[in-house]
Amino acid sequence: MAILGAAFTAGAQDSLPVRLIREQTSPVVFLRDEVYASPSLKVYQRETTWSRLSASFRHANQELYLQQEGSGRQTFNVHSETYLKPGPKATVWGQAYYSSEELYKVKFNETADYHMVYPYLMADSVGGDLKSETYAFAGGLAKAAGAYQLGLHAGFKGLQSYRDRDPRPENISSTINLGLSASRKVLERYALGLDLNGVKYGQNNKLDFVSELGYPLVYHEAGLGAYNEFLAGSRTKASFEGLGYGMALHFAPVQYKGWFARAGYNRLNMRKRLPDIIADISTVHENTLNGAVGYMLDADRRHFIAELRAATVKREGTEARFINTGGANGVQKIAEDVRYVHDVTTFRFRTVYGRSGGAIDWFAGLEAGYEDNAQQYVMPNRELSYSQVLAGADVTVRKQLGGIMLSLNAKAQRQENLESTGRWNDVSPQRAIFTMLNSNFAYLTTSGMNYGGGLRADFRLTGKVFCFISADAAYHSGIDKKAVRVMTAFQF
Amino acid sequence: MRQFKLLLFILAVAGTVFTAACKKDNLTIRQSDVGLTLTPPAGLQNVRTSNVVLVFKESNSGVDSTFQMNGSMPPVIILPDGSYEVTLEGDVEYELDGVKYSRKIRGHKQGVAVSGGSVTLDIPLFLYDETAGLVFKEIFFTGTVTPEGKQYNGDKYFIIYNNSEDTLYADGLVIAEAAFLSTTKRTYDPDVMPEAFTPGSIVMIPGKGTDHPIYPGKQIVVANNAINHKEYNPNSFDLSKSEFELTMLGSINVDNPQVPDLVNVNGFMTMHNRGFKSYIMGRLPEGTTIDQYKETQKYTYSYIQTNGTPRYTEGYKFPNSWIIDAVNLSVPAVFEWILTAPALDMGWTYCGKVDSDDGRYGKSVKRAVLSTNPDGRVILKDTNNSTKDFEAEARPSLMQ
Repeated sequence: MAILGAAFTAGAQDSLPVRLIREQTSPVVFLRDEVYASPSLKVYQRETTWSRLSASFRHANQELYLQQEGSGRQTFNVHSETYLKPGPKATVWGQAYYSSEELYKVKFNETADYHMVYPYLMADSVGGDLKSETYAFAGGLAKAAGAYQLGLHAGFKGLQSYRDRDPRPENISSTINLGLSASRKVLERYALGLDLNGVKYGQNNKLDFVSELGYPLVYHEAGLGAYNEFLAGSRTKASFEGLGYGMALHFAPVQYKGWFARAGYNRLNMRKRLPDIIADISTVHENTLNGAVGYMLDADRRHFIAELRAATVKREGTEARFINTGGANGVQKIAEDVRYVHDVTTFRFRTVYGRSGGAIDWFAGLEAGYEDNAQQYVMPNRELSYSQVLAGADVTVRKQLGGIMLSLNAKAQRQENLESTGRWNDVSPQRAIFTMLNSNFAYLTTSGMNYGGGLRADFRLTGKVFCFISADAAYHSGIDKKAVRVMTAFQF
Repeated sequence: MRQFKLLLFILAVAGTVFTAACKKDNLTIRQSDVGLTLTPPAGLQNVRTSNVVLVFKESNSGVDSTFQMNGSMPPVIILPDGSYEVTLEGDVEYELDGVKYSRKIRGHKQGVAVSGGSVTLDIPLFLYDETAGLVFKEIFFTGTVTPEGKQYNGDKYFIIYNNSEDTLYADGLVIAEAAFLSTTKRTYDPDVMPEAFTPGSIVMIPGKGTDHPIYPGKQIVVANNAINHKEYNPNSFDLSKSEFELTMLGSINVDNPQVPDLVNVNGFMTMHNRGFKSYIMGRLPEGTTIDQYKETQKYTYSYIQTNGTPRYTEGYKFPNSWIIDAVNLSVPAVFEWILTAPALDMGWTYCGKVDSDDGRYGKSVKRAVLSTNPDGRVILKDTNNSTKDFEAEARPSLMQ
């Protein structure tokens, strides 16, 4: 607060990097950044360059939640990021972060990276709060070569999650990304780019108990609470290996004026193994198709962008069946089938219009979305499906007061469930799995209002070092979620 | 205009692929036909089965599929690919030496692989007798927990019950614990299970033949340590009035001189407290001494270890024909096979649903009551299927 107070009284000579702050606080730019996310289009992404070191604290709690992900989280994050153009023909960018996180009340999941490996989690009905630490590094380089931009991006993320009381998971995962890209200027004002990318994933998943009296059933979830009874019991070690690849085509204006479009395809193959069993116990094959089309206009003091995006994700889980031969080979695979499918289709439209350069900068946004989400498991037959729509509006205002640039944003959204089906008739109501399925169903299909708002204050700290402090809060009425975040960053 | 055409082209391609990808699939799984033959017990003539019910339990999903046989014709069986445990129960009429009999018949097969479109399956049938004499009424193998949360093991016990209408004698009665584990299936060579049980520890009730009568509807308690355990663990019970006690390993044996000790025929019986083993009760043939038994029934068995090398072990056989009662124990989450011939016990019971279940302590397996005679004598259920005959995770009858 003392720093802020000093900044308020500072004179106009302490000039702020106004262009940088405008870019960083513009909801038009937030949307626009994704248009230029391809390594070979990065050169067009921002007009200003920057380097930032930030620290943030987040806390969120909710009444309805996905049991496998927990009822909330508290995260401390230290993040460094840079976007530079060291020469007329080169663009470099990178980020590194460390985060320490605690997830609350995680149940039916003793495996890290839920979204990567689901539904094949190691699980028990006890669970508890789960701590994790994440280290990540990523960076890229784009270089002009004649009419072409050639880009390269690489990243690594390492995570370990653990709990200090029974059940005690100890999970270590790593994700390595690599992307190659090339774009070419076409039609004078546009660029056409092609990305090729790959990802390699691995996780060692281990569960331990120290109680001498015993421990609960440890099983290997196969989707919608189903699990292989043959593998349930005390198999407390598992490993995951994943390999993904994809491609994307981008079409974008080079000067923030014109039509843009992109289409992409990604494939992820993941396999789960248990010690002493030669065959994979399950595999995941996920196909993702996504596309977007829109128009942007950035002229004088007017800023406009509109985008319609669509995505479809089909995740198929193939599960093996085993027999105990009793011989030296022990457990052997005798059959496999696709037993789990998760289909998600989303459409989202967003548009933002804003004016800057006047007494006050302002932006107004509208958003609408539709999601169709269906999970199926066969033998026993279970289903969880729903569709929902979303509509919302948001506003951002920005004003320089002395040596401080203040940005304020607020939004309101309505999320409405259109239809939902939950079918797991074979599960006894006395079982904890029944409670879990009902709880997850309630979370996924609840309608409600989402409110959010935030404040950011940018000011000069010293010399060429600038600082901002921001605070955000959000409330989701349907699931009774409350979330806050505070962040401070140094930019130079 | 050119950029708009290019944009439309990209959109058309993306839209076509997107529409195709949104199409949802119906999940189907592979199934196989199962051809079934039933082999009646050898030596019977004019065998006619009826009221036969077959249950196929898939080990991976835990799903049961039930089929009823119409007369002697096997039903059409189509099952999802998997690993199955098959049980069969029904009635049989047969002739032997010109005499007609009507009895119950059963069949049982574990580890049946159903895959590849079609399989054939032969189930050997066996007769079983619903009447029996001495039976295990209760086995308390889990022990208790002290108020400090520590395991307490000395208070385990067996209750042996006279389920007949005759006075029977406990003298010479043998109790044996399996050498194998119901949670670890192995291919033992030779496989003696069809004709004999392979015990680990064996104990015998002393006596000259009529020293220890058990009257109809009465029972005896065989305790680990026949003492008042409440003095050491308030969560335990008084076993000082037991009829017999085991002779345990020196470090855990507490002798009550007022209670006769069992004779250790082989090893020391400690009773597996997670319930991985099975128990049988039987008698040596009249006139057979312990030494003669050990000399004639000794054998060497082997299995192939995970590293591919054989492991040889010396053990004893206890012929099925000597066995009076048998109870298979296991744990639902880690069960792999039963350790007796199905004719002795085709099921299994348990305390604790998972391996090392901390909820198993202070629970026993207790035989269910079939009926009560007008004279008040209770008849216990004894169909040679512990799954149906026993109440799993029951409150021990000696617990106050």
